[in-house]
Amino acid sequence: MNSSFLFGITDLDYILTFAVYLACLITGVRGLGRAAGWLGIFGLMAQTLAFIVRWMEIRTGYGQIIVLSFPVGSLYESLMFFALCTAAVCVYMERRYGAYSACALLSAAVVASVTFADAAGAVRAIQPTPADIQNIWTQLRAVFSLSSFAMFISGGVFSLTFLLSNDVKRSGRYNFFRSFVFAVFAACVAVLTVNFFYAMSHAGSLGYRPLMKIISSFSGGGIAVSVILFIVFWAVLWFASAGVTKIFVRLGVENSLMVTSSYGLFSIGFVLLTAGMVCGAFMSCSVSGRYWSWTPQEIWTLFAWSCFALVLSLYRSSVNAPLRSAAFSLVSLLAAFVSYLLMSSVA
Amino acid sequence: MKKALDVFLSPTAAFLFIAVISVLAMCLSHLGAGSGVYSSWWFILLLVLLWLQAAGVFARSILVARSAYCGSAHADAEPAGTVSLDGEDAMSLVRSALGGYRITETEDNGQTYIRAERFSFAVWGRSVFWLGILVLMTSGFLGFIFGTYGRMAVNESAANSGLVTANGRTVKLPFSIRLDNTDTKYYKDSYILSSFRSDISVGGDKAAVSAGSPAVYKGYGIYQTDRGFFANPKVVFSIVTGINSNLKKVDAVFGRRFVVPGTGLTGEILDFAPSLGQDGSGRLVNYDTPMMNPAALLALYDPDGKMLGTKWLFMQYPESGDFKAFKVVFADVTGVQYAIFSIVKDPFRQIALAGFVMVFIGCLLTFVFRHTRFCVRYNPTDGAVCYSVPTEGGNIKPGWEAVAAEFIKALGR
Repeated sequence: MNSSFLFGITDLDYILTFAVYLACLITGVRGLGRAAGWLGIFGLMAQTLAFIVRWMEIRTGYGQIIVLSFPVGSLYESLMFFALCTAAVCVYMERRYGAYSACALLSAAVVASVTFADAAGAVRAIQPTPADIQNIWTQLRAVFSLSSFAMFISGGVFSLTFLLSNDVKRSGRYNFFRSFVFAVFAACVAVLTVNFFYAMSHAGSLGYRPLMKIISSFSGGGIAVSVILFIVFWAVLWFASAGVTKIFVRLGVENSLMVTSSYGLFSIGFVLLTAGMVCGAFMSCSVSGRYWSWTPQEIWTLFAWSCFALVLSLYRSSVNAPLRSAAFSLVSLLAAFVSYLLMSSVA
Repeated sequence: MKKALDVFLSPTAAFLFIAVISVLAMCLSHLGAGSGVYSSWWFILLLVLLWLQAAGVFARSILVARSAYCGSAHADAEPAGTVSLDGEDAMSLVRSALGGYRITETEDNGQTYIRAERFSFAVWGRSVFWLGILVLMTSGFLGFIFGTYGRMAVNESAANSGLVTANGRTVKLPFSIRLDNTDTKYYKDSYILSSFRSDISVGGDKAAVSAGSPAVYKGYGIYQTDRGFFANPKVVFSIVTGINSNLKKVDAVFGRRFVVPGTGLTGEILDFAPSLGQDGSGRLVNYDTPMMNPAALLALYDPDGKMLGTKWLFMQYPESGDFKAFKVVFADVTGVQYAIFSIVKDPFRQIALAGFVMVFIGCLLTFVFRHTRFCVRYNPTDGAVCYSVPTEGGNIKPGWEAVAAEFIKALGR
């Protein structure tokens, strides 16, 4: 039994978990949510075991010392670690609060992560760490950064659930804004899905396709059709808002829990991201003697860091407007995400 | 004016400014601007503005922390909730519910006031955070003014003293670096570097540079950041040859034969490939420029000068030079690799790293070891326990619901 086999089992389990959560969201049957929770626990345990096995495989395969062998070096491993952290948050929230609606969205993020690893043609085989970056700071930086982004995504999902759970008048200004935010979010997911199928159709030979490349391949007509489709989707969401809210309210999760969880996850994520940046500075120092070199990666991390600091600052300063804070947290998440895709197109 | 200053000196505005600067840097990066842009006057001016803003936010955070640390806030605040407790042991129940807190009790008009506090040192979290940012920016600026940073490419068996700085200027160092030998190793069947080491002579001293282990000379740190291959007809091959019990080291160059001791034979290196492999049809090809599988083509001649044949010798496979009666082992090659060194002299680097650590400690204090404080008022006549937590505009601040819920749970309600 090797790590690839265990990761394969995990992938299937997470897809099944998502399907059961989706069924729970549609039918409103809480028993399905609990069943999905147990499936999630099984997946989490299997993935943890897969990581331990892979850790040992790297250590024995390349004779590296144990602290430098933690499997977060390749794209595949980093996506798996991100999925592990997100799944851990999902399991915790399900066991402690029974937040099935948010868990359904979180499990979607987990599935997106594990399937994207395969679609993007990420190499599953074990790869050693290059000599240049064989130090403890590199390992810590990767662990902290990936877990911080798992926290941010989870916080964003709770913000989204909070926005969707608020019962408001269709004609109100808030509903107009809320449906726009959700439409933008859904559009980004749609672009990623296009990316996914494009990569799948090329059997992973093209590797990761950044957003800018997809957009630049659109003709003028293609862009016009995309904009019209977006507006239609926004309008549908606007009209169907009562139905969407009903689905989320049916599972009966308190709105204050959503706000508290979102703030808590963003706080933990921010501390972890800061730790990642500090480790990055030490790593850079040990490799090139400089703690900051204005590299694209550093700039992007600084941007994401400032976005999330801004979200936390807004949460603290506008307690009377949790809706505004939640919406802004989603916008920040998208901004950080889009900037990451833009930066990757430069790289 | 005061309102504008209030907005400018708020943490929200400071984070927004950092985001704007990073977006600007990202755009510059997109437009292909060199790293010299980051040392241009207008970019530095933006950073100075940010420094002033951070200094203002830091000063205000100290004032806020002092009032939170010394003041008796919330003592008369509106209660966030009320719990009814009956029985004589109500106060001991409240005290046990506040187990992890430092408690101060006072009595007034027959009512008991309890002030509970935890992690009081964490009120300085924001100040430490912004001080860290200031330390980081200041030491970065001082390092930029008084320090030296640049890159230098040095060929094997050659020396260089010209340092190319971030804005493309070449600065002459007070010493030269000679690259005596560089050695790179890759994982088997992989493009991934497994180890590297460069032996250098700097200012007459010998030193070695390897992964995570720079050489230091007169306060300058010398780090190897890259490496490569260059074509050089004056390459020197280090060959170990002779009959099995009597091996000798000889230096071989193109166009000159060397003697295989004890055999009467002579040899000559005819060709060299840094990465020799086989293509799909089994033909030998040089597939890359890094030294992934270095090989030298050896020709052997009899005592009359007649060529006996040729054979590729692989550095990674010494058995490729085993001729049963004698050996010709390709041990090393000098003069075909170059190394790129990052040379840094920054007297403020340790302070900047301390700034990074301070920022992290500030985050920990603000978000993990949160200063938690709330007040409880117990009225023995009706058994009401009123508790208040920090509020703003009548709403409990985010995160404080959990503190209140924890208290109610501990009371058994």
